[in-house]
Amino acid sequence: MDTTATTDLGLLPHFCLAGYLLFLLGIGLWGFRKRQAGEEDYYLAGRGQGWLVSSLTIMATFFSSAAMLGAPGMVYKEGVVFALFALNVPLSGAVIYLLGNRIRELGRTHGHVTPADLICSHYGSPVALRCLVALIGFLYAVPYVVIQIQAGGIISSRLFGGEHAFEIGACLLSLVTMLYIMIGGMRSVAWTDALQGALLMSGMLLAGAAAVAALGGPSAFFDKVSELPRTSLSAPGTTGSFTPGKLFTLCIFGALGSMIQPAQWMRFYAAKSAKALRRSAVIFALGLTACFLFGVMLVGLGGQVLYPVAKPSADGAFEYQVQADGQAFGVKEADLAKRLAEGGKPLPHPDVGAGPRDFDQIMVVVLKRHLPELLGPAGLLLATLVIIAIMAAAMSTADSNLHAMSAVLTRDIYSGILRPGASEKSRLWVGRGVIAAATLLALGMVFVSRSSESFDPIGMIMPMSLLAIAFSSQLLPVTFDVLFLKRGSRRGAIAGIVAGMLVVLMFSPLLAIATGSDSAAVDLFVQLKKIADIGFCGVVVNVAVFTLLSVIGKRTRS
Amino acid sequence: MVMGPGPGLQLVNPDPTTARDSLLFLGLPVIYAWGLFWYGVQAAVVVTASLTIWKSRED
Repeated sequence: MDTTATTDLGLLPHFCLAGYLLFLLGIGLWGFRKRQAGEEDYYLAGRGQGWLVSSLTIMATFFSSAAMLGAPGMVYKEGVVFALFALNVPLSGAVIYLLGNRIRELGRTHGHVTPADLICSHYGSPVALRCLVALIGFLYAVPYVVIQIQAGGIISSRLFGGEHAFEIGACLLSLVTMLYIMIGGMRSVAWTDALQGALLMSGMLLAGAAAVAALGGPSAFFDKVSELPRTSLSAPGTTGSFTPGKLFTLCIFGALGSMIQPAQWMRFYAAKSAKALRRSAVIFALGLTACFLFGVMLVGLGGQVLYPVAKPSADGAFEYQVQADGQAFGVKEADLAKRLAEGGKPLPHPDVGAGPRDFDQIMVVVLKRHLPELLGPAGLLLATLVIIAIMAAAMSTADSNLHAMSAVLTRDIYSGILRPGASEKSRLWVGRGVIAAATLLALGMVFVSRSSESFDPIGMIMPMSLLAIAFSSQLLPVTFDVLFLKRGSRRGAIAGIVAGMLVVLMFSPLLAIATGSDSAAVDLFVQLKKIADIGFCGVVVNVAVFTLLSVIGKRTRS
Repeated sequence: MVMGPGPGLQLVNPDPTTARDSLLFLGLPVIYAWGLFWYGVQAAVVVTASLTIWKSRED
């Protein structure tokens, strides 16, 4: 099969994208016209979101461009084992009701807006715990916003080409997102998310159908998939990264950590009723997992057939292309693990990309090349719509995180600590200022990363985004205690979160900087990382410290 | 979760050195079929909980 031909989508993407962005701005204006005075309306849409908008906005916030580009990219790189990561989604769905409904009830009763409002009112800690919870929210939101803006630039450059397509795409995505959040608040964010969520789900399924059709239908698809290298069809995958233990903790803490981050927490507050969250949970668990398993995961698998990462050599063994020290060379399947352990990185098919990070391009490559070939002009339109759905995934995650970051910094830091007597009007304007400043900062980081060879914040932020979920997982013990157990102490909560965050920091590049990259401590955490998820390790220590100090405190008091 | 993506996966995970047939189940990669099965189980649990326990709590 010829995979080298490229398809020119013509001016269609320009018109579709322009129409889409104008429509989003229109929703922003509609949100502005429907607004009511007050912070609660700006941040929580008056706590009146029904089940349809709630489910779509929770889904759109959950799935970022990393899911649309990264998940098929991981299946393309690692093989079918990564498809099992989709099984974290039903757990997230259950969390929407089990945790979300209790959070909603407490929020409605006490007028909470941010996660810190609820946690700090329970433990009676106005400053220390509030700062910690706000810091976790901030650490979660920043990398996500930066990555979404970068994704907008990448999609724009793939879609339109040209010298400044990346910069124009990144600017358009961030400025349109910033505008509709600033003018319409949560109502605009939720309604744009609803549109983007619907686009996202359709796009995921359509992409899967395109991959299957490109290989001649379901039967031919799986016949060809069955001829892939054995490592692509078994755990722990091509690079040996996804052992069942690692996959298990990653699914558990990926699901829990991403569901108690500030943007989702605020969506629980914003839901109108328990029924809205119950229905959202079911739609989320069933619909989104199906989109994953029958949609984007099939793109990754089909990608391995269409653009092989390993080719059979003369003796029948598969040979991979690996990059080490800037050089690319072929490695036999049997020697792959050894080469990767020595620092080599597998490379995708040359038509997909030239570097080890280009596996994520598989989705756009499959859509852009194969849908128009299969369906002609209709395929052109569908390919454009799915690529816009990827942009929708980026925008919906960026807007939710920017909006939540605005609430966290304004409510928890500005009016909670710096100016407790600030008027509601001034808080709203500070919140808008935070959105503008955060957007411009994130945009600046993306541009600096592209223009400077020595300073690459994106290179640091990609691993930081994984750390972000691990950081937000550190809210799990206190959240369970506040909602269910009610036995922990303030001191235990603070110490547990600090201990959990310190453990998570040990997995970051900071440890290597502090102790040297070949130290025993670095080796220990590298080995731990292979066995279990980072968030899991942090939560184990967090729970131990939290429990110990809470028990000691109780005994001392009694 | 323990059975689907977790340690239970070891029950069906094919040994890469064995025959190619052991990598497949009804024409699908065995790991993918395993994932689909546990998706069905998880979906059934969520729907049942939604229609029984969660709903009665609301009432």
